[in-house]
Amino acid sequence: MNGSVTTQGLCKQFGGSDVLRDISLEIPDGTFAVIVGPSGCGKTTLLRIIAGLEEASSGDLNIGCERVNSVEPAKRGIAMVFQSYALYPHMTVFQNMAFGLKFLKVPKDEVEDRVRRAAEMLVIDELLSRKPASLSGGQRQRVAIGRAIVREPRVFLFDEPLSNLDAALRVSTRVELASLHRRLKATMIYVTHDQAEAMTLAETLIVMNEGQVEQVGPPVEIYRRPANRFVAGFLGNPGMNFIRGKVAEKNSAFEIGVRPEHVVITSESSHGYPGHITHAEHMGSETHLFVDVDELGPVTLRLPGIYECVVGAACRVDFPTDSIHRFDAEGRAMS
Amino acid sequence: MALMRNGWRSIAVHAALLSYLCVALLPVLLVVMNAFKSRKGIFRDPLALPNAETFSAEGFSRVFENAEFAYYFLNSFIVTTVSMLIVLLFGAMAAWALNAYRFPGRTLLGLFLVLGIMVPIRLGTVAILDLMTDLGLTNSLFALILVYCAQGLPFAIFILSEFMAQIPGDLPDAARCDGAPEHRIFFHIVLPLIRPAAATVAIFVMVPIWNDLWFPLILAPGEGTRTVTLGVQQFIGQYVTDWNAVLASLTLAILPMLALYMLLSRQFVRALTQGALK
Ligand SMILES: Nc1ncnc2c1ncn2[C@@H]1O[C@H](COP(=O)(O)OP(=O)(O)O)[C@@H](O)[C@H]1O
Ligand SMILES: [Mg+2]
Repeated sequence: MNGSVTTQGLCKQFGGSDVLRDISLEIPDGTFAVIVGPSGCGKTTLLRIIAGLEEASSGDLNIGCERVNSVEPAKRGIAMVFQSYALYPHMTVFQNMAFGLKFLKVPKDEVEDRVRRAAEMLVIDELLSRKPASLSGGQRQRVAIGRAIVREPRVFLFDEPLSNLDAALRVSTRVELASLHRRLKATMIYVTHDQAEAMTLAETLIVMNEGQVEQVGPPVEIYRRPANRFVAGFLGNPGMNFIRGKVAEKNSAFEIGVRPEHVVITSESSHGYPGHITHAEHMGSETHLFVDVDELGPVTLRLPGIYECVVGAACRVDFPTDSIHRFDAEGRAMS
Repeated sequence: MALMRNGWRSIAVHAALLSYLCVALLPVLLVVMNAFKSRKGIFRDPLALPNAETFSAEGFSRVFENAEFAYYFLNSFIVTTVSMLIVLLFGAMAAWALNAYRFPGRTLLGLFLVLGIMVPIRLGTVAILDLMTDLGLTNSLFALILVYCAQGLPFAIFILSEFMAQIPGDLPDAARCDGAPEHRIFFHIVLPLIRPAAATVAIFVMVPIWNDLWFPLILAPGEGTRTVTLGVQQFIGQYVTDWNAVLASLTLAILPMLALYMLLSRQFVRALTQGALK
């Protein structure tokens, strides 16, 4: 069963306003694809169209080798994990997971078998007779994933599945999702606005903004070579430094961008740009230094370890020429 | 200080509620009390509790002797439960359709359906009687059921759709991904979730139907189709009224509604206080 997902010129309007514009994607079978973008850029809408819960205004959607534009959700071989989990409140965990199998005409003992296997995989086999209201957020999350697994879909769809969990649980669940993908080998399309999830989980990263796809590729590749100013600014924490004016012109660009980790403090007075430190954030493993540079404006630096400094002290910052990203007036990256 | 004010306020609230309770309960209490008294006892001191001298169950025995009375109860029971079931089922279906599906004219249709709350159905009595006569439905329980459905539906649709608006849209969507057909979503996901609201609606719909005298009197006064409230009238004569039997039958008529209320009260209170789904 082929679980590739391709879209061609997919558009969606809600009452006259364009929510999705000309989305063309190719997600090969078995890929972990992450769609990332700011809130309201149309990620959920795109996922719902792939799931069949929303109809595209125009364009083609294929799952496997089949055009599925007008195929109902359950016949598409997909399973969706909702942001709100959407567990049926009046059913036990077991009933929640087994609900969809009724309609697939799975024999009774196999239902039992599939639910038990999924529950063991997710370590929720103790909870099978409980109701969702008595579960913690993390447990509900697992049940929602379990309900998707038992359907044995070609494509898993996740809509910000970790956004309701606390920070520690988010990191551990992230790791589990990655290992789940290695085990199941199904296609997974994962929507998030969190760039840490996007960078760590994605095999293919799809960056969206205002209903359009900005860039597609392996996450590291996108981080290294962002296609435009939006992608460059969206990925990376702290965000990229953007500089206009004389220094940009010297590099024959409208605007240049330098990542905080590429900016260094230099002691030689012949190099770099003078400025003074306005603030320092000590993360322990690294230090974020905010410097007001006379020629460049405010610049953020990311220095390893704990960097001892005094706010207001003068310093010189510099960055290697090969770390510069150059953008034209439309915000496109220049080679 | 704040505690004091709260204390006074809660005393005031309780006093108001208690006095309302007395006003509401007094007639019921009078009926029940006097049902267990002899005729003399009733007239000598209607406000006294039955004692050894005045105690008598003659009213009840007269009601039970009357063979038709069981039929009156049966008629009331059939009309009330069938109307309630129809109102609940179709009310819930209409409310769900208005909530879950987008279609042209949805708002208008919704307004139209709840308009009936503001227009008392009795205003249309003459037209209804005309219609029932033309259809040959007078003196049938079916006529009553039809009228009571029309009477109950607007309220049911209004309350149930307020409740259904709180069901997150992801739930039916998850069920659609699970392959559940729309009718299964309604019966297996939506209905179980609105149980408290359905109990409330059931009580509010059934009580006025059970107590109604107007439509039974006009549409179905025949011997075979009398309801309890109408049946009681036979003890009220032009010259003599058998008060013992009247009070006894009224007491008996209270019982089913009381039982219903006790059965549903937990759900009922939950719907009133919490409203939201958990
Ligand atoms: N059913 C709808 N009707 C009208 N507008 C909608 C609907 N669903 C989403 N939108 C609009 O589409 C845009 C994208 O929404 P969404 O896909 O939920 O974004 P994201 O998931 O990226 O935050 C938003 O501006 C939202 O207001
Ligand atoms: Mg979203």
